[in-house]
Amino acid sequence: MPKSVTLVLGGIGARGTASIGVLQSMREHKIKVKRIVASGISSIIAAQFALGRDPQLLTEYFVQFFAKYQQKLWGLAQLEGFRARQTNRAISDFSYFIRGVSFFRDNFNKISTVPWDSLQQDLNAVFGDIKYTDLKLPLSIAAIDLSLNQEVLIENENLIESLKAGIAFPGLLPPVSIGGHDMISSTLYCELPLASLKKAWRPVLAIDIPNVRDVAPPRSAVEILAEIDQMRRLAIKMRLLENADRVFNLESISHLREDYGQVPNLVSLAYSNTNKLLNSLS
Amino acid sequence: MKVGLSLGGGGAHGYAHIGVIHALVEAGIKVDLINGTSIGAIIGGAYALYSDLDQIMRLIEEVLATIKVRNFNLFRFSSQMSHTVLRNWLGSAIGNIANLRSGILNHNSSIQALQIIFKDQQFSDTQIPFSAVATDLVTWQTVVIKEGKLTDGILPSIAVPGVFHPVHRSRQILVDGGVLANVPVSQLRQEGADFVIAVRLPWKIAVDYQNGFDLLNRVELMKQNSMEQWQVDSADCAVEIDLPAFDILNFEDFKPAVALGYETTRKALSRLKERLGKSHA
Repeated sequence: MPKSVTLVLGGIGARGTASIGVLQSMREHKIKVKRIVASGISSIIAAQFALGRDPQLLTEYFVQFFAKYQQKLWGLAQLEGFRARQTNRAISDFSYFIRGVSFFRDNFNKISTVPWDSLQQDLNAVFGDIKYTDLKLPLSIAAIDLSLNQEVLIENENLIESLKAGIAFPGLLPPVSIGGHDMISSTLYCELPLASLKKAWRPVLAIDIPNVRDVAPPRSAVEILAEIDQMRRLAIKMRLLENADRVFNLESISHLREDYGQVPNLVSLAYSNTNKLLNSLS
Repeated sequence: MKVGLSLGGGGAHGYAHIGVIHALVEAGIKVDLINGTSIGAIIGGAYALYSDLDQIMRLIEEVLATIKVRNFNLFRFSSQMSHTVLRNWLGSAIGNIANLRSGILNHNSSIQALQIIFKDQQFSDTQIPFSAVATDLVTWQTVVIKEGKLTDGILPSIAVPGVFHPVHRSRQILVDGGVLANVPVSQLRQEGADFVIAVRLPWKIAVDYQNGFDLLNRVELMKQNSMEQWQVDSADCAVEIDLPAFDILNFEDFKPAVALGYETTRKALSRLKERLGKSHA
């Protein structure tokens, strides 16, 4: 392993919590991280790490976080290909349809299904008075700038607003204004923020959770569109991973479904998987 | 050296491909292979079969006289709906159908249109080797179709996901090739092209957004644009036909797009000939 690396962390939705285990393992192996580039949920975890705090403290926070918004996360689960495939298909299909109706109604009439107010309080609880300058480690938070239609990296802005931009998943949360530009989460474009890395940041270590395809073929047009989103995200990620000098594949968690109850499991599997990868290098 | 022409997808903007081919023929640039995605597959297939642009124009007029192409635009009513509530209601209704069925529209009109153009002709009947490009939802791969009836082979390539039902072909579930390869340059190289001319119909992303779906749609377009850019960058020469003033869903009015395709390609000819010359040498 080189002496110090730039770490690229991402992952869509709850899968992003794997970064807790990754950073814990990095810290224990005394890997010198010179910068973190993070997107989505990983940007919250990276901020915690950059403050010198134990990221593990966030595990319970995210369990509660996802439990609280679970009802509203239908769209996210849908986008991740979480499909009604239980044995009692008629009942699950019906509940699936009802949730779909509410998702469409919300998203055609509003900018998002969840407003910022209560989420803002959740973020304040962890990062209340902290400024970007309080971070002990440079942190770049990836987002999509809606006026440029491309991935940008946010640095040295209001920390809470930047974290909000990182997790402002379209369809779920409203865009966030940073420096007069509206921003949304970049994870739907590419799970890993690899599009705007600088040469000076090399060597770059990207932490990837390999994608596992849904076995059941899509049935409804909405499922087809969700599948296409995944296909394109995978294609873009595979292409952009060429920008990393080294990639850690967290194979052990790739099979875990997008299930919010899985967060502690995700964290511990990511921890042991990173340990294994780091041990194999030394 | 084999010169290939790779025609990109882009709805009604694809009529511009006719003008592109016109300019290439006029300049004496001989095309040895053609492939295409979506509308690119229709125009490319028609030229590969007939090598006669006037006949293609006549066939398109016949399609327009027979089929209500206006129906391909699901939101055709919404432009007259100044009231947002009504438009959102229509959007939600379409969303609900999309949640129950694998598509909103059936293939009847598409098949009818393809049959007017291609009759019962086969891929093996084309004067120039031709392939259509689609996407398989089972394997997540781009699929190259070059056997059987042209109508059957091009239909999956134009099955826009979310709008049309996917096309089942043996074990494949096929939709529009634009999902992964809107300008199928690498696929044409695999078919044996040494020099690929790529024709791209860029889709401008709207500036404003009103609801969550506008945002989801925008990210999807960003993804498509990124991939398309990588594909076009890998071609030996690319022509971009920028049609900002034309509605991508207006299939009724084709002559202005043809003219713009012709004009744009004429301007690109010197660059194209120079690169072709270098490749020959």
